Amino acid sequence: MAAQKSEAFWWLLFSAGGMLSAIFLPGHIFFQGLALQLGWIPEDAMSFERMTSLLSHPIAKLYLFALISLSLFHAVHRLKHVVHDLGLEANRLMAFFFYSVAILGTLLAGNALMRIG
Amino acid sequence: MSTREYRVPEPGYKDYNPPAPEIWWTKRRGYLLFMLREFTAIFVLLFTMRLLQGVIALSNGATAWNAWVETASNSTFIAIGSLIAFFFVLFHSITWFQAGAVVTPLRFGKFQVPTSLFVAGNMGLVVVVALVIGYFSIGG
Repeated sequence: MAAQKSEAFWWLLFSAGGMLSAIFLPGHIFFQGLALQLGWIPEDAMSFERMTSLLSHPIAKLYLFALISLSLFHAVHRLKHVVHDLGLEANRLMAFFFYSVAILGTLLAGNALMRIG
Repeated sequence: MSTREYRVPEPGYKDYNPPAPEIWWTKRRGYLLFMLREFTAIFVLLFTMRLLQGVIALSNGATAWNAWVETASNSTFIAIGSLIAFFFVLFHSITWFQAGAVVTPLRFGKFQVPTSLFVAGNMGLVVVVALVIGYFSIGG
């Protein structure tokens, strides 16, 4: 895999996303994943009205935007290298595909968060 | 010298890369742990997409949001997926801090915080952060 000049840029996003996901994702998987399944979250806590008011706050929007976007960039950058490690050629097309997923997710997250509240 | 130049073989020098089997990473414990660490990205990706789906559902109104909550509460697939993702993401956190202890070591004068303590301290932070997330999730 030829190293691209843009590698430093993608690595920066990978690194920032790696840090955010390492610190914040376990808590989210626990509460929005496991606890919800186990019925530990009261029903009204997950109501549309409460969630909308919670995510109407600019800090909540900024937090979720950064967490979702950078975690996606972290994951796709790492998966690009996994593909290479599994013996497939990680060419430009492959890189384009992976980063497109993160870019699309970033746009969707930004659009959705702006429309809440 | 850029990495690209470094990888170009000298003139007349045959650049030979013996092919490695695709399962090379199962041959040694260290390789396996490395690959498991890399595989954490699959679960980071899937769970982040699930969160994104929730945010999009919330932006689309009460009906879409309630459908998301219903699946998040009652789908066996999501339950098993969350459980697997939870362990993989914890593994991501631990390995991320292990790397952090080497790349950005914490020093107090001549004392450098050992990797184990660095990881433990940061995992403590993960727990505190999880409690804050729990506070907002349950109804703070």
